[in-house]
Amino acid sequence: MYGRKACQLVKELENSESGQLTGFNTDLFAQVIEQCDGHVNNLQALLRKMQEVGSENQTAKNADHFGALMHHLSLVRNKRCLMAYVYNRAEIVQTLGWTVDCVLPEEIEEKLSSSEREYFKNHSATLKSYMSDLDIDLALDMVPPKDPYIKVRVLEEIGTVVLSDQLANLARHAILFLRRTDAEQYIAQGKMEELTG
Amino acid sequence: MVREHSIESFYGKLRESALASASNTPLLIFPSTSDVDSLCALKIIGHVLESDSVRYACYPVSSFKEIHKYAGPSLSSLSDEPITILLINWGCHRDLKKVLEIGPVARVFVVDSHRPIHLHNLSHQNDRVVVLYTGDDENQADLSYDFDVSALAAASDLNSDDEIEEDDSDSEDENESDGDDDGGNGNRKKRRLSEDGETDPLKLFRKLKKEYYHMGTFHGKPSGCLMYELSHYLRKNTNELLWLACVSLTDQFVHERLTNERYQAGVMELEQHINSSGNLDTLTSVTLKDGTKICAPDSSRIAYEDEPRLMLLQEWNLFDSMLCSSYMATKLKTWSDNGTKKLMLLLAQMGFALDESKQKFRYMSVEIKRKMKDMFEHFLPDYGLNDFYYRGFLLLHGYSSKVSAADVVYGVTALLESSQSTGSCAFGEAYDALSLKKLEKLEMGMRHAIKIQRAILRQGSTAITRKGSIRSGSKFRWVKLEDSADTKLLGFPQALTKFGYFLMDALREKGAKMKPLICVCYTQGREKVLIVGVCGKPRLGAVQGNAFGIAFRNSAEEIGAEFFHEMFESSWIVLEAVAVNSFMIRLTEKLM
Repeated sequence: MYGRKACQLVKELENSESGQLTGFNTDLFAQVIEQCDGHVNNLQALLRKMQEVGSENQTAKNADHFGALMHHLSLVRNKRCLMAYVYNRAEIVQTLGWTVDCVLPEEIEEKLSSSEREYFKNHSATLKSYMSDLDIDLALDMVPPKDPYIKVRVLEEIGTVVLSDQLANLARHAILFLRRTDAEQYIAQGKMEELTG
Repeated sequence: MVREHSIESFYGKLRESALASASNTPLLIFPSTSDVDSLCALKIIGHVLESDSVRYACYPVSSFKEIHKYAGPSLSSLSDEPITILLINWGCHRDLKKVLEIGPVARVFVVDSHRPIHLHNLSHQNDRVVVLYTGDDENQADLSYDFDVSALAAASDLNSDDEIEEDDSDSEDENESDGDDDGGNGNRKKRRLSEDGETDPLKLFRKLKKEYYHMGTFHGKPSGCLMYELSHYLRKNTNELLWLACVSLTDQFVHERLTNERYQAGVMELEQHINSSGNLDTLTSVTLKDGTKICAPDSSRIAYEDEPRLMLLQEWNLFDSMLCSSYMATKLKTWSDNGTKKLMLLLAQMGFALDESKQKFRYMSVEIKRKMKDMFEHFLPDYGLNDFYYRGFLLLHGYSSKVSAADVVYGVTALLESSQSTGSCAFGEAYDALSLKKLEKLEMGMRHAIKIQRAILRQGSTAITRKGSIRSGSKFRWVKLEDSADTKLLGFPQALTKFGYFLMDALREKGAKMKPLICVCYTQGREKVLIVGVCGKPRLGAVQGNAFGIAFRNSAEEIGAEFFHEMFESSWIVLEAVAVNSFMIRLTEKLM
């Protein structure tokens, strides 16, 4: 059935959790494009046929017209689905650019297609240059924290690092009470978790 | 000034010192991973520090040297950057300045319930180490000194090598160095000591020192309770912290680290706190948006009640809990046919259907739960179980959950000593389980505790019934655990201690003479053994605590085997498995 594959692609998008990326479905994507090529060929053939026959034969003309219309609509629909797929993913990639610092974690990186990777790189580079122009870190949380300090647990061995003004050993499983700004980057990278209660 | 008598000024100094060093490093906290009390104390002091915006970093440790892994070189180096360290529930029975190689700019604060405290840590001259040791704690201790500890500490010489007191052979050079190093100050104090009759101050000092250390180890006030007092004094106490204080008192109770009298006193103190923080209102009314008032239970509140000595009831069933709990099992000998019959008979007398009592306790019929206390109190004395109920604490959470402090202690201890995760990772799990929002972790711990208790019953009953498993010397008994499956569960200090107490109770019921017991358990695939010395529940007015520490160390040194005696309780030691027999022979000679 025409358009089913494209529909699957969009469904996949919808089934994944919002804000979460699934692996780029290269196979299905290529199949849909292939289908589009088929539609174009069919459409051109029908158009040529219609021109050859001319406007005399009313019955043949109708069938050809409807056929051409079907292919045309399927083509447009496939295109919309493909665009939706790419666009929605691009939006997630964009938000990643705001939350993750320049380097993508491996498990996310492998889910992107090569052009998406390129897009991420360029996007975050643009963001960075913009922020350095303004001299403001726009990626910070919009809601001011209630407490400037935060209690965290270190999930991965980080080693001894310089926090804003202190030297601290961020050994695995250590519990720290430190400035929120110091902890934010590690929390975003998944190397720390906030402890509550 | 090294002994700190008041909690407030101890905290004041800690805070001041932490803030002074805050420009280069956070306050370093090293809680012990060996007991629940240390976890509770950590949580409470953490809360206080947080509300004062003191930044800290906390690294759980299980042996003395581990601290260097985290503290880095600044602890012992000569650099002039100050560093502040807080030790929770370990350290004060060894000379910290020497053992941890503390440099001139580091300051160590200690909150620890282990006794005796090393005199060097209490000495005025040792201002790098500050120990919290209140006067109340000294006066209400289970073992009391008939001399002034502060004065004794002041007289002790920091440079002497008296890690653990031995014979008098090295006393001559100590004699000289005393006179040379402290100048007049030290001597004057010694003279004050000598007023009680003894003429030579040095002889007297040495006699008292020997007496002080040879009393053996025991425990002071739980650190969690001390820290709660601090939070109370600073008006930073919350119900949650109070619950932690209850848990830490119960920890000492469950692991038989305090006398009944001191437990009662602790309970009374906490009951007052519970009453004064509004835990008595059982129901609070909530007004809904449309104005209707409904009665809702307070979100969570602490209650005190007479609790049966049955383990982990909430997570188990009545029958198994009666079968396995140490108190009942040892009295009824539930491992024998006769014992099981007695248990069945008891249930029948009380009118509890067998299949009902094997139902998970939470889903057991409400009627039985209601009748339970009356029935137990009526029928148990016939079986010789007279003190089946004790005063305990409960945390009620709405209508949905109810958990007793003892069960929390069992569960969290099991998490601390589970073989799946070790050291600091297990500490993290236990830390989470103690918070009221993560009940599923606590339940996991309780299920593990059930496994441990079953193993205790299995191994305990085999040791009792099989002739020759418990070997008896003149001063102590000892038992070796070899079963490969159960040693995985019991190869941890606290679990092995519980096993030891189980055996001692069982032996007492058999009418055997009470002697200290040494438990030996294979760990790490039979290459090493863990040895724990158990001395029986502390009694008021006893003259001796657990005196195995010194003997263990000396014996291990003398046989020349590789050993590890750096754990936080001196009656715990790890040895090579091949050296066990020669160690026991040497120990028998020592304790003749």
